[in-house]
Amino acid sequence: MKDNNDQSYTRREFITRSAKASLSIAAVTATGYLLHDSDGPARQQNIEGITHLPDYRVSPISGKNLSIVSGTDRIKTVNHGLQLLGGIDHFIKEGDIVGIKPNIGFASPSLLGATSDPDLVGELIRLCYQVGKASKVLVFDNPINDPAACFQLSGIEAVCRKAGAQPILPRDHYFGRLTLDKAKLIRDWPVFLQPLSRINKLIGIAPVKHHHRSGASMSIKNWYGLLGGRRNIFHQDIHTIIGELAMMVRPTLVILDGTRVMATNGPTGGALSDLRQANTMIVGSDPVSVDSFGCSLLGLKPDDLPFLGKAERLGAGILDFQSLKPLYGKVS
Amino acid sequence: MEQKKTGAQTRISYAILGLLSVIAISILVIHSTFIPTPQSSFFTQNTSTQAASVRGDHPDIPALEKFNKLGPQEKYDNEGLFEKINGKAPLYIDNGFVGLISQRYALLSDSSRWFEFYLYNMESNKNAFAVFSSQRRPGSNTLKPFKEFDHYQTENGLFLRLGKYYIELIGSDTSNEIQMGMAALSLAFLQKNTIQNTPIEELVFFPKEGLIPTSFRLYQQNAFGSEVLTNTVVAQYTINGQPVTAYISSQKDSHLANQAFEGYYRFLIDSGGAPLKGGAKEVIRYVDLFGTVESLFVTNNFIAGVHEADDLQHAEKLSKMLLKRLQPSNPQ
Repeated sequence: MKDNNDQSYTRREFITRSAKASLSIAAVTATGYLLHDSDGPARQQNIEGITHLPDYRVSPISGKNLSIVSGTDRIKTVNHGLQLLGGIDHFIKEGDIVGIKPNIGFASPSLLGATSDPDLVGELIRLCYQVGKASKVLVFDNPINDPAACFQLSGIEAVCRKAGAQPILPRDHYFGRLTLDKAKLIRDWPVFLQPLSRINKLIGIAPVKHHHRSGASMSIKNWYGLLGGRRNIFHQDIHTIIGELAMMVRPTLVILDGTRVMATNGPTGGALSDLRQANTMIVGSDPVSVDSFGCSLLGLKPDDLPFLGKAERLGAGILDFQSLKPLYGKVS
Repeated sequence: MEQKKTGAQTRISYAILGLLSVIAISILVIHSTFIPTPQSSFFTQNTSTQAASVRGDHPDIPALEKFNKLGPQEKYDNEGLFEKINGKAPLYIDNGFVGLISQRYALLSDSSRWFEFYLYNMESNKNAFAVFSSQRRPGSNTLKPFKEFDHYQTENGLFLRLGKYYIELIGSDTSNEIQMGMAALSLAFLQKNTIQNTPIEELVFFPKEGLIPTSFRLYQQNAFGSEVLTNTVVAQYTINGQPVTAYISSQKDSHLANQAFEGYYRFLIDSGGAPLKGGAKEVIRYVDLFGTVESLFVTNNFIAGVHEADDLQHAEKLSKMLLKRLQPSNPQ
């Protein structure tokens, strides 16, 4: 075989070689085009037709189930709340793939308090990566309004990009059907399974809001954003569906943000006067007990919210949060 | 000459390899930050593709100087309203909602600052007043150009009832530019559309003395938990420094009013109330309901009275004032 540098080509040889090279490039391009998946990764086959979601819970340190921290600075209160429960690294371990489910239901600015605070979401992403040593953090929700608008206008997409988390917006094929054991409503219903099947830890972050239909929207109601289909029909039986959501999702942690609560005109609000400073952050792994305390920030008792009793009866958590001996804290 | 050719081929080969490397790296980078719904989709979506038809209503939604329309115009009917406002939808649907059109407007100078215009067609003046009044925020300002209409301004919003339309404008911040834009758009809408604005007739029957003028609420169904109290306007008073609630429920005719009057009295007694003073013999009946005083009377096609007064003295005073105003001989 001759060295290329010594080879001289005739015009015919040059044209032949050029044609071959062009054909090769065309073949590679065509193959790439044919293999291109504009929809992104498809869901795994084994999540179709399931009866329960993975259990993401981590056993709490004895006596450290629930923390309630007062203060105006969300970053400080959430950090202190987590420290009281043993630190984020008790819940998130090296290599974990963490799912964060904020409330991004509405395409409204964070100013209105209808969605999770973006700075709080950003801090949780940071903690998962830097302290928990997570390998990946996914942030997902199936919003009420246009998903792209919700992620952008709420400010959540920007913090995801900044903190290195992957935002996942819903697409039809990200949903798989779930028939939840013992459930009346969640039967053969589409659930946002694609991200849930990729993670091994799940954190919910929700604001405390008045809700015209259910009375309150807090950490359990936040899982409504995992449902697909024509889920608005569940509003006819809102307390049952929220109770079942508590049974459906067994999270690693929930963070209920009561720094500034939507006291009236929820769940969308619209005026700053709908909001009231309550300066409280609640952190726990039992959403029922977290919400049982959280409703007090709206001037409600757990008995005022039938879904809490339903959730407890379905075995989703403990209504009497005092029995968990909450750890109280305060930051300046 | 040959050396020159092979040198050129080597350079071209390196250039192609370099280009392929850049493409490969770009693919890796793009996929690592992949968002299925691209950012542009929300802002460039064609307005006609998303819209559901809104029955029989084609209001002119004006353009606005110094602002760009941000994203598509959205339209929702009864079926789709949950997709916009979720749990607040029943409030509108139960009050005769026909359709919602919404449009965001962003400042030309800074597209991250915007407001959203919500135009609810409630089919009638009364329906629109019901949703306007039930969400009214306390302590808000009014604007001179809209003095003939029910309206108020909050730090970040403007809320109006223009005839059958209930309008919300909600800003992403509290700046003067956004406030001025919202007011200008409302004014332009008012100028471009014919608004049949009829006052709510019951309001004039409420005595002025002690009345809190911004406190009117219209409940079209189930006022105070009683299904016989339909079409009921409620107002707050301060009598001798004490808060007292007055109500007027208007029925189609005096026969129906008498039926509803007796029905409401039975409801109060069945709910644990005890007759006060002369009981059912009196023109104005008083009932002690768990330590608060209810009063009711019927005149013409109205049932009226006082709700949850702290004592009989205040209930009597306001009830008599109300009766005097409602008697047919009394000029409005």
